[in-house]
Amino acid sequence: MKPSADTIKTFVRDLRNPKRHSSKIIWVLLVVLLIPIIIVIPEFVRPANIANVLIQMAPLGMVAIGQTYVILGGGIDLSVGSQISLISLIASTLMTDSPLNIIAVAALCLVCGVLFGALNGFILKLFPMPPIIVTLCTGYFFQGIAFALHKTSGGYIPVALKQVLTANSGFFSVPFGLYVLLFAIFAYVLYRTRFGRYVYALGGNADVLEKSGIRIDRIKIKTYMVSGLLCAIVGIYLAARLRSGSARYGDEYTLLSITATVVGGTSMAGGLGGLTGTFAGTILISMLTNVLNNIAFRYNLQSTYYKDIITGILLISAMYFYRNRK
Amino acid sequence: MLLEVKDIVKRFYGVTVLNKVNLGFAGGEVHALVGENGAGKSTLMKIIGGIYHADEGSVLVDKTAVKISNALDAAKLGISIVHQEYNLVPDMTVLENVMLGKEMTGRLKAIDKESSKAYVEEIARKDGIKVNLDKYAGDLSSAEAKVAEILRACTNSMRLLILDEPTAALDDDDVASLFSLIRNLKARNIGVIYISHRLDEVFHICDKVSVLKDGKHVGTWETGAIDRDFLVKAMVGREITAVFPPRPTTKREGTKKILCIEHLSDASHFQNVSLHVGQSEILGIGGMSGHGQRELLRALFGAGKITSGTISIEGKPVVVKHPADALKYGMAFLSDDRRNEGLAQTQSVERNIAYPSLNRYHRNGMVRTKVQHALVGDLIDRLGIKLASERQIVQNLSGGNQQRVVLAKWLPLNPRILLLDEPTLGVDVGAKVEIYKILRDLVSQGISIIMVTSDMLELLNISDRIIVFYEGSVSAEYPGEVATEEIIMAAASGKPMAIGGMV
Repeated sequence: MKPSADTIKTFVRDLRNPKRHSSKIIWVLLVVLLIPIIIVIPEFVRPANIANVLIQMAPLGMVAIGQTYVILGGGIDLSVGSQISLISLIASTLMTDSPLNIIAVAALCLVCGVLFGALNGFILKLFPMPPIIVTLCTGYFFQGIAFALHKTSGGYIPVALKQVLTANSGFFSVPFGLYVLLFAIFAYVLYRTRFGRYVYALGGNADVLEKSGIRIDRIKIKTYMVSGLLCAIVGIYLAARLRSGSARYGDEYTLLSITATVVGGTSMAGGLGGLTGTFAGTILISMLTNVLNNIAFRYNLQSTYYKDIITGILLISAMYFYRNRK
Repeated sequence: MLLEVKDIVKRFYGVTVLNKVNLGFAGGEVHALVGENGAGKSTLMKIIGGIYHADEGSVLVDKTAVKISNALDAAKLGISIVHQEYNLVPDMTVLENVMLGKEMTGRLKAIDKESSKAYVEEIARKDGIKVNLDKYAGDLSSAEAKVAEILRACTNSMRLLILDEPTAALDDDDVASLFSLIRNLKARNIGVIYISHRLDEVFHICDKVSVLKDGKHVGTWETGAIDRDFLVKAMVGREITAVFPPRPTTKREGTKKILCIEHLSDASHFQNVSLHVGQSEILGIGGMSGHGQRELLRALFGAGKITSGTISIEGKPVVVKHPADALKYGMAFLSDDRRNEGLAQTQSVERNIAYPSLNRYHRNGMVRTKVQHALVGDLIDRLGIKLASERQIVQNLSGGNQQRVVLAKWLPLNPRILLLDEPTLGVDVGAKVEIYKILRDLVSQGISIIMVTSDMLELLNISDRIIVFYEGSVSAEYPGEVATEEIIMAAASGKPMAIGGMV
């Protein structure tokens, strides 16, 4: 079917003036970026590399799911990186080779993650302060505990756990599969259930939500708990992948998860955007990271610095681009 | 009686806003509640709606005392409030807004959009409400937003609907459709409390009218039994105390115009405003709050954006795009938001006074503290600011003293025009007298003043000339000597009376 001139016109207009919850622009950007990337680095589209990108995007994607919940609810979680690090150390400190122990420690880590999130939420309920300050502080708090547990990376993770969590064959891999599963669950909750609706209303106009008889503090706390739970999953995964824990493993995920969310069209003010956009934002960041690594490898450069520069530029451009929406 | 309030008393920080108010509202009746700004109407409604709590007295529903601690309690009793301000989640659809907090869910806890829609459409049809349920609330016009809010109230099996200034942002057609909606509700035996400043609407749609004044219930009448003049008298009639300095007796006819504005408009608050102020004149701008006066004043000072029209000072056209421009042309501005815009709260009196004039008392960027000190001391004496020391922190001063500090900071710049927004807001009576004296004193030195105020007595007794705003335009202009509360009230509700050939 050939699109008529009119549909193209509306499509272009929507792109220039993004509407509400639309994440169209970011998908278009992805496709547009893919063309020069394929020309410059043909290796990018090799199946092995694509599979690699999918594995790499899984942890960021999971953290970004939680971050999207929090930002949609009008908050922000700057403590995600430290939560991930602390969980990785809790796991690596307590784990032994016994299967029962592995399961128990993993469960404990998930509970801790939820509790970390709840702590963020409760502090915000008890002492109403900007979430950016509160979570920055709790982030330092979590990281401090992590450093106290282990000054360098260390601990022990049984090889069996690594084998299970990093298993892959062809395009399928456990981390990406887990990400898709979690994404499906949390997208369903966000888009189809009452709780999801309340998250949007909380960020959009908390006053109205409260006057509708909803306890907004509880909704807010739950968004941080979702974030904490996902951080815990990522913490366990990173610990398993590297077979150790470290107070620094999670560092990069704080800014990256916010960038993935905002680039995906979720408004920093809350109430606007959604997980589909964040999904695209995650792909974009992972794609760029992979391309940078490829270029760095080819020219023997230090890719991490360039990645930081690009992340910063991306976040500012996205916030500027979306500023006038509505 | 569907709802009664008995001996309601409410105080804020020791100020009594409602004093033993007794009122009853019946089902199937549209009951207007009127009174001046600050009469206590909104406070009373917020008590009924569970947002505030009365210090004394009780609220009765069906003759039984009830405790309404929050909006949800009120909704359970069938009481819904449509507030004056916007109360929807902008990035959700009308349907989602209407069903917020009572979503219908089906399998796997998924929200059942089809049933919700059918349910809401059925209610809308029954009450004759027309609104597009799929539109985002942020895209609605003011009228549609009001209708959406009423629809939300209707889904709460409402018995009593409180409408707070529902027509403030509506045009005539929208008002007509709102009224037909109100009649439908009335026919279903729903009680309506209608708060409005527009008296013609009160006579048009309401069965009964109650007047509140200074927190007291003046009376309740059938709208058929009284007329407009009677109602206006009931709303305003009070004594004027001798807090105001006498006006100068000399004629000001023929004095030169200092500031002239012509056909000034901004994006949304005021349109096509033309006015002028003469030398040594106090021009008072009155009207109900929210009719564009405040925005006009801010635009004159460069704190708001002008879309068309011209400003000229002493005959020369000027462009004011930023407060710095306004200062250059000799204008000074006293904000109604003293806390945020008038003063640096945590700084000393001396520093606050010195900020605007720092440019003039420095040597190569270093503040000449001795000169500054002498200047500040002089101003403190001149305006009679009562202080323990110039180093005293501003936020610990009384409202009256704070306002004098704001005035003092502008005087070293020798302003020609003072723009005052609510100059005595939050100032007690004794200090008001002092501020009025200062204003008169400044005027006698050749300064011109434009003063926006919602204090009727202040407007009538301080202004040499009065302009009344209604819906963003000048509704009427009167000399200060002849204006009365009735005349101003009439002009402020869009029905100016002609007196002596002047409108």
